[in-house]
Amino acid sequence: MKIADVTPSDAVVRYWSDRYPDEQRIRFGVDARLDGGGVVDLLSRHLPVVAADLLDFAASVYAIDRVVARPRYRGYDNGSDWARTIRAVLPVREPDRWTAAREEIRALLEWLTDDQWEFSFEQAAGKGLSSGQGYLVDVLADGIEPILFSGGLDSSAGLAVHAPRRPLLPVSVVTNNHMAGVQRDVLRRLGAPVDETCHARFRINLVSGVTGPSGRAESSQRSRGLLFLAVGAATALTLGVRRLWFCENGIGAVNLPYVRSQLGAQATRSAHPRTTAAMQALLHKLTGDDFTVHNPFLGMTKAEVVSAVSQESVAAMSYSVSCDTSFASRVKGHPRCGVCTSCLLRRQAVAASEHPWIDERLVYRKQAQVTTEQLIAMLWQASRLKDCLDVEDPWLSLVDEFPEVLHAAPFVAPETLINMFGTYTREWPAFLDSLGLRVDDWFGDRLQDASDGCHSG
Amino acid sequence: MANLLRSGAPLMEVEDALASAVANSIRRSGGVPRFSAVAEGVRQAAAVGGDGHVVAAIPTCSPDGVVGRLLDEAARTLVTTMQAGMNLVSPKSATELLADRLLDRIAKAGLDHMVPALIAEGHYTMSQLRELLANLSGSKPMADLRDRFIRHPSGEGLRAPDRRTAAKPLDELLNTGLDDL
Repeated sequence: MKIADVTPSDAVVRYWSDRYPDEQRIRFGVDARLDGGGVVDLLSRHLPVVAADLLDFAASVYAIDRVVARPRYRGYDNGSDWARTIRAVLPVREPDRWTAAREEIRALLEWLTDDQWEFSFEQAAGKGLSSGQGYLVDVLADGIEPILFSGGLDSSAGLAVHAPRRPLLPVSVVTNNHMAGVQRDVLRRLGAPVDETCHARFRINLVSGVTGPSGRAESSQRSRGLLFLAVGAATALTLGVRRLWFCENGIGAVNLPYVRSQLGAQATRSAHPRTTAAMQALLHKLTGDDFTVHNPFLGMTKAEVVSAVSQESVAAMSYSVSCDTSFASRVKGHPRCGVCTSCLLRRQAVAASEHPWIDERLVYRKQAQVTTEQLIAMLWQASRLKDCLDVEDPWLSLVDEFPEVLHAAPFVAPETLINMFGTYTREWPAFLDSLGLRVDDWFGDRLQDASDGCHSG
Repeated sequence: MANLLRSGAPLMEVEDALASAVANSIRRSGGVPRFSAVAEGVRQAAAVGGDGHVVAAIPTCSPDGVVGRLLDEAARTLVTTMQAGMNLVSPKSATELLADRLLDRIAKAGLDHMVPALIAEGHYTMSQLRELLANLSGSKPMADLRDRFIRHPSGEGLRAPDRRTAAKPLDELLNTGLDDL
């Protein structure tokens, strides 16, 4: 197997887009930094070439995705779309291998980002290929498999539930020190069998000056899913295994839009089963071997995931972070907002789980109220789901109301999806009760404060 | 539309405004010039059969942009429901069914992003809003617009049906000053 030094990357990526038609460049080591030092120190002095190229490819896509602003949304009146057209020339160590995989790359990225991507691959300058033998640190257990670990609730629960049964190596992408601290904290509190010293971290940063003419990054970051999967797959390839664990509850993975104005990848597809299938197809094309991205929580609600965590491990779950804004603040101890859809889904799940007390110590910056639009949007979706599931043919009704569910159907049995969404809708009252809110006639009437006496209960 | 909904305007007025907004969206986006070909693709894909869970390939003659995305959704959904119901339909019916779904999807995409604000502001309860949106989708102006769209799939020359004026009740006419009418 050919191997290569990979960290830090010094690639220069050239790209063009409909927004910036002239050639633009991202210089790794100057404009952006991809540091896999953590994995090199832990696993191997060198990575397989295909793994090294995979890391450079994913980091390049992520960097371009961040610096090319999407068209400004101007409503549906003019049929405007948020998609971009991007062409890029990427230096890789094995251009022929990557050129042959262009169709798989296009399918994955178009699905994940809604954008049109066109890639050319050129020989990386100074190949840097080494004939030295890579080595694995002998503290790692035989047969250990990588598991993506973000520091969020689902990936923490994945470790808590599955690490006691088999050796798993947490793999993380880190963009700031706050995120790294959260991940370390959760691992330390999980204790055995997860060793915090055995944690593969990939750090990626962009210099603020390259994130667009105004200095503002494109915030949608729909290629983050590719970056996470790529670091996990690169770690697996380095370990010599062909399976990556990716733990995300089924509601979050399928991620049906809350309102019908969310189109395509506007509802993120990072953990969608079609994303993982497209990644498997790309890895098969690149390596010639079958590769599996395994999500053991795919048919479960988030509340069921929380309930699956044992009493011994569940306290660590409260140190995980789900908030959309918490990591972005880059401030240690920054309180969760409490009202973003990620916070609300977590709170709903914990309230409906067998461990409803685990987040009692948390303080939120905002209180969810009857006027919280994110909560209303989630209830709007849940009420429509419930109506779909109460009819004679729930699957057809579900397809009719949520056409996006068809994307999941080839990978998750419709019966499983129906059961999962049914469980999800039944979980909501527990959360609303915990907030002191009520919806009379199960979403049929006004969301209101339970103490106002205007409902019949 | 949002202000109209906030104002509690009569349903007929909202129906007219919605049909006008949908016609506007199709016209400005360039519509679906090869709409009948897409509908025929749907009909053939549905005829392939399946268990209702499998969607056959639909010819890629969709336009780019929002309308293209919504058309893709509408087409996939229609194939699934037709397969499940083992419905064999004529090309004309397939065109009408797909047009119904596309226009309905465009309308809902435009309306749904107003939902959280309208409920949070207390203008509607969830059940009221859902009933209203269902009525709007099935309104006569939307049905008329469907027929017009089939005749003008590129959106060129597409106009919503003329706005209707409601006759005021007789007692209101008799008891209201001319200046106030």
